[in-house]
Amino acid sequence: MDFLQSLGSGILSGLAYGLLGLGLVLIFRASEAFNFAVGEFLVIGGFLFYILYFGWHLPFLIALPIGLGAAAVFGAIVERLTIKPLMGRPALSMTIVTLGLSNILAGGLQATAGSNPYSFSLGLPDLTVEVGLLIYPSPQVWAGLLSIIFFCLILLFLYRTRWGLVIQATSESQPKALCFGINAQFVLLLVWAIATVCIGAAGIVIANLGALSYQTSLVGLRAIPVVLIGGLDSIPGALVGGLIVGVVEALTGAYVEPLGLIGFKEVVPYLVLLVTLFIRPYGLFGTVRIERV
Amino acid sequence: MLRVENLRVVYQEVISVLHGVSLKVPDREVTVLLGANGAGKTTMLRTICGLLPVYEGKIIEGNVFLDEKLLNRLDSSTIVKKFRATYVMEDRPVFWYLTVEQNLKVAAFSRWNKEVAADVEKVITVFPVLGSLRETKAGYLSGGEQQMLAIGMALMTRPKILLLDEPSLGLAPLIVRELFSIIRNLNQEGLTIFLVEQNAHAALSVAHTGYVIENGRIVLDGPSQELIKNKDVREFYLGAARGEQQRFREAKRYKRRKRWL
Amino acid sequence: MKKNCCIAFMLVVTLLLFPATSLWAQSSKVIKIGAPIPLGGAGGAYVGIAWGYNDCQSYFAAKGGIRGYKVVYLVEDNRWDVTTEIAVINRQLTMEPKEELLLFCGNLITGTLKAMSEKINQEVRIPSIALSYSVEMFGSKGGPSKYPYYFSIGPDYSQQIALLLRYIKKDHKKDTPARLAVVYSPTEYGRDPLSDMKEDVARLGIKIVAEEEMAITASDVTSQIINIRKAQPDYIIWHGFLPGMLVAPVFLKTARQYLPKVPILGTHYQTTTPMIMAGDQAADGLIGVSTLVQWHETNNPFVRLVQEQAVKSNRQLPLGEKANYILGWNLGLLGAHAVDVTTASGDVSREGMKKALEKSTWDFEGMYEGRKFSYASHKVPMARIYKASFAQKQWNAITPWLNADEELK
Repeated sequence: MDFLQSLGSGILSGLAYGLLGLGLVLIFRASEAFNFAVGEFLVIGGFLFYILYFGWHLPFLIALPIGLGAAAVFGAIVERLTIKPLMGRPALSMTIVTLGLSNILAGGLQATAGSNPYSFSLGLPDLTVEVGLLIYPSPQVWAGLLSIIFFCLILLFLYRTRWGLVIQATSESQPKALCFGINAQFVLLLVWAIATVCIGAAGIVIANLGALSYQTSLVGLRAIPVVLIGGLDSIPGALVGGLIVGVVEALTGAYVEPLGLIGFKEVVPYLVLLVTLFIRPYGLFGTVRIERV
Repeated sequence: MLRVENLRVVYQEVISVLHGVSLKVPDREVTVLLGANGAGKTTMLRTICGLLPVYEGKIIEGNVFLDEKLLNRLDSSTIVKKFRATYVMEDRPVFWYLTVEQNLKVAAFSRWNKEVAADVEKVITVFPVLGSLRETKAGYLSGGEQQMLAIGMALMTRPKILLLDEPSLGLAPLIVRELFSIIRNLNQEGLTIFLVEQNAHAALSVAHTGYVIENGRIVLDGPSQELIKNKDVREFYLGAARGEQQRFREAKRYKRRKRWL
Repeated sequence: MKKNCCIAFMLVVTLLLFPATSLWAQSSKVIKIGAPIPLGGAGGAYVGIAWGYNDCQSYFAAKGGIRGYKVVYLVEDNRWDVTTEIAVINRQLTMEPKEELLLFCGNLITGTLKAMSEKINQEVRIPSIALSYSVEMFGSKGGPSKYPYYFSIGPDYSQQIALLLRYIKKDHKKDTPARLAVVYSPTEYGRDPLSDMKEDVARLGIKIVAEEEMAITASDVTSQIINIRKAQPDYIIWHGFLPGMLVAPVFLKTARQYLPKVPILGTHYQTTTPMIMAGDQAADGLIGVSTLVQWHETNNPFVRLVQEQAVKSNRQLPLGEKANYILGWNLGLLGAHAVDVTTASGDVSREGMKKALEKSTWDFEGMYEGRKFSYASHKVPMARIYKASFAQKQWNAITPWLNADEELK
């Protein structure tokens, strides 16, 4: 019984982690950079939505697309200011830039929004699932549901539309895309915008579980084991990695922590990552690079 | 007409690759640029197409004119869209993880009109072998098929001038022959072609004019009939021996002085 | 040659200025009060407290100081972390002259008090007023005999919990003993009152049915809540959290989902306005003990004083910072009161301040509505029980001011 309860809440939170991971994977595939500012993107996405939904009291179905649109614009601005000037430079420099970016954004967030938590309850219709002794509260069910919906929407866009095709091609090789007249710079901008939408949407569902403050960015760090386990350039890997991390965290919380190791559930995903890397160094689904030595 | 005037190109601000190159590619003709490895052929093509910034290169002197309009500072997507000059990179630039059909569609992206589907069919008639490979991922195709796909993708952009970079690289002689006959047909339908090659035989058989580039300088040019007969071209690019026995010392290439120096 | 002359000139000027500045400082009498507060870190950032200190300092500066002494608060960030705070305290102790730095009055964490108890109480002997209500330092087993230089700003945690337990006893109408679940954080602060509480609980006939630890950076506490649910408690007491922590709103929301009818009671730090904001609807109906007055109680002279000063300094206070601002004033005024009694006694030194504080009785600028308290036990023993109303976004008092020393005899 305990097991099913934990498994269920693990899967639900894992779906949200998967959406977070998707954002990171998209950025990595296109720019070959790891976005360390994922926590801050999460919180900023949450705040943009907060202003529209809680501040101006727009209905949810209007606030959500506009809020995510604002998040997309934010991602595009970040790309223009920080990544585009580095085009052609090694991917490592872009990654370091995101490290500095995360500090700047964290400080800017505290300066504008203050350090106090903001109450964040979406007020969505109650979807609590109660089956006998099992209970899955509504915010968690909504987190899983919205994450899956967004994930599928993004996949549909990537694999069924022309723009998605172009993004796939440019992510694979920028010079080749340039030869055929594709404006690779704009495509990169688009990828960052879409990735920020993913991360922002994940931020909204995660903030709904608690409150929104600059501390919420800590959850973004959970995305690191998610994408490394799944494979940094693999889209299905993000989902699988997310589910693995979510379930492992929940099961650890239920079975290992009562033994006295409080807080261990933050450590366990990294242990799983370590084991995975021993077996498959590029992640479970990452493309294995064949290198001649 | 494509005209290059006194082009000097450097990479990373210190590596000088082209030292004052001038050439002309007349409309509706096939022009070939011959040269050994590292002579500057690919750099030439990259410059024309505006791809130099990607490789940290810069034009420090000289101009590139297409139909008398300056191409120096334009970026590659403008050049493809407005001037219809498409560059097929060396080593078969196809997207390995997309299918053949997706590759062709992606190549037409910059045009984005309803004729794309019809164009895909047209390309398949030019390269019939692609017809059976529509749903195969491009990474699994053989070298020859990939090269045909690459040229097909270039055709999807409806170019007026096609720039081909060593299309025969790594291909079996039969395929090379097929490829070049297709190139000749394309030219006969009105497409200007600027060809960069190491395989002088095949190239000179389809070209109208030829240039020979060595160490970043044009050292010989003229109609292809004359180039075929030129003794140095024959020895260094066509592999035709001199006919008599040579003393070893005279055979060492790097010690040989060529007539054009 | 020219460059060397320049450098030499600058060196000489600096050397000349150095003693001059210290001389200049000594010419006006100054008492400095060290004030480490959390302006960042895992506990959250409480900038309102710093504003309170600043405005308090200007208030006394406008009055010309206290008996001719200028009061300066050295506000620094302790990141709610013991190591950082120890570094801050050590730095202030070494940098400030002994005659000027007479007091620490700030958010000293329980962990720091433990770590520095020898240094502060035996070596340096500087009175330290902490926002900690630690049982170990101030409770029955500690107190002025063991830690003569530690002072607290409120009743210690076991006293606060004892007040809550008595409330539970009164509230629980059934015959069977009340079932209690306890939730705490795995920190010094969190574990502090547990042993005393267990003795108390046995005496009052309340049964502890579940004990759960929650890490302060946890974003999911479902497993702990499920364990609590299995034990079927009537009440939950939570202790050891701050409203700025990641886990606080998550706990409130999850608890409300799984255990909608169980009242949740907290100690002082769980009973602040930012907690209502963080917990949203889930915070409605929370009960807690607070040693601080609330912003909306304008019939309280202390609150009126603070609100007037806020207007004078043009402070724009968002809802969350109001409680922090009052806390800043609370600490500032207490520090100023220490300066007051010390300068009145004539012995302006660390020892003198300690003695003067112990002898003082004060009504805290009218905060306790006519009641005075004696600092002999090194604690300000006043506290009150409040209930949260989400609609009004404030805590409403459900008992009058209780003097813990008297109530719990």
